[in-house]
Amino acid sequence: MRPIRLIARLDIKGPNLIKGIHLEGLRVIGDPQAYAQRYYEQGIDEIIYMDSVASLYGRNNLSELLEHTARHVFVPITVGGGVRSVEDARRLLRTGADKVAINTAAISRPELLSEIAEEFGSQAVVLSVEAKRLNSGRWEAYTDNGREHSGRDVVEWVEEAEKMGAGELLLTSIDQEGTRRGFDIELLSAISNLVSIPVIASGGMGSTADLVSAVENGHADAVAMADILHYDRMTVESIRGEALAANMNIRELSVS
Amino acid sequence: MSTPKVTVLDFGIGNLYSVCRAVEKSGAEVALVDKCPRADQVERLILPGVGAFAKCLDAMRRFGAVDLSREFAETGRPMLGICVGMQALFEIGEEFGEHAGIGIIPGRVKQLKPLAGNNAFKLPHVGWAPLECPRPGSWDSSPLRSVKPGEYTYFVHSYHGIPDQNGSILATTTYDGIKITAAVSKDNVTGVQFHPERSGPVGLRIMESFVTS
Repeated sequence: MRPIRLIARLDIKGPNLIKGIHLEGLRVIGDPQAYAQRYYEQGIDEIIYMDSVASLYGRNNLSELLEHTARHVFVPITVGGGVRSVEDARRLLRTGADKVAINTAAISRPELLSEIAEEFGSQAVVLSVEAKRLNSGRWEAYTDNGREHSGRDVVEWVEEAEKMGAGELLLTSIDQEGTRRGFDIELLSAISNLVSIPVIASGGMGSTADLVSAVENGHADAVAMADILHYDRMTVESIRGEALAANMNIRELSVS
Repeated sequence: MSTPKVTVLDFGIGNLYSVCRAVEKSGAEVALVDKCPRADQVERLILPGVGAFAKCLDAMRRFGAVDLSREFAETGRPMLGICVGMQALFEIGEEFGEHAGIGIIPGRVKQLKPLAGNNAFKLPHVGWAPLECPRPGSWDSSPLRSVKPGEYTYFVHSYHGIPDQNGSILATTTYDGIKITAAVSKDNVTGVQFHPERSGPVGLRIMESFVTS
């Protein structure tokens, strides 16, 4: 079985780590740097920082946070929110990010994905998709942190974005996000079976069983966790232990 | 003992911020240089690299890093190539045609190839993978001396080095059934395909071993 990554997702507003439900009703959790460091010490595989209001203000404000984080956190870091140009990507990659996640700007101009991939490689380009289920049974891509309709069908958009050079896909279900009711498995499996780039499941993790289902039924390559970690419902260590016990192929932190 | 000093070459390719922070975290002083130093000005050398082999080697050549690396390798002082910086140590790279490398390690850099019949093989190889030690004891005098076989490091790549002599291989890993060269060495020169600066505490131990070797 292919290896699965455990990722901590930290949504940021101003100086604060925040958490919402369906990407709304944002609650302040605390200092993002302290949380990122704690997850690193607990053995997280990767970190995602998402500037949740960046699209609104037109730029990503996480450079300073990144610079500080990269002094203490030595696992891959993805940064998203408000990335609109090759220069925006360069600034974030120079201050400690390994990958940039792009949603709003890529929907309005898909070539941005190619431009950043050509400059820094596809492995540095994460397409962030905020998917909301429609009555038709399909999903619509939202922008601006789940605030705006794009009118784009998620399946069609993801196919196009892969061709444009996206190297990885962060797939957030707005319907499940913050609910602790599990990932949108139908969405995950529809997308995972379609693309050959790694898919990160995001939105809804309530327990390790949800992770196992995202991998086994949704064919996810990685799982993004927020609520479950931020509210200290579980530690990274205990999730890793349970996932290993469920025969997931994930990194073992201690060897005999 | 004085603080170890590590020179990181910045020939305009890639993100070197985390490499530099990892060197500092390992207890060394770091100099990120955007002009090529002389070999006698360098105590320990890190050769980074990302992107396509040819593009990276062109940037190294323009910078002077190819000549510096050859000269520095002769000094006997520690040198570490990371990712494409490791691949650059080989004689020839096969990414987008054949291109000359630095040539410290005899061999070629080839694309990862799936086992026959595997249609679900994914490139690049991204993620954490456990290090294997093909020759027990060979890590003792290398930057891997503080690592236990089976410990995980972080990889992002589609190509890997195949040395002419098996003895050049320091560590391997396995990805979807195929054997990957994870680290190579020749005397004072070590190359790692994975990213020690992104490999958590295991990566930092490798860095520490490098700065104190």
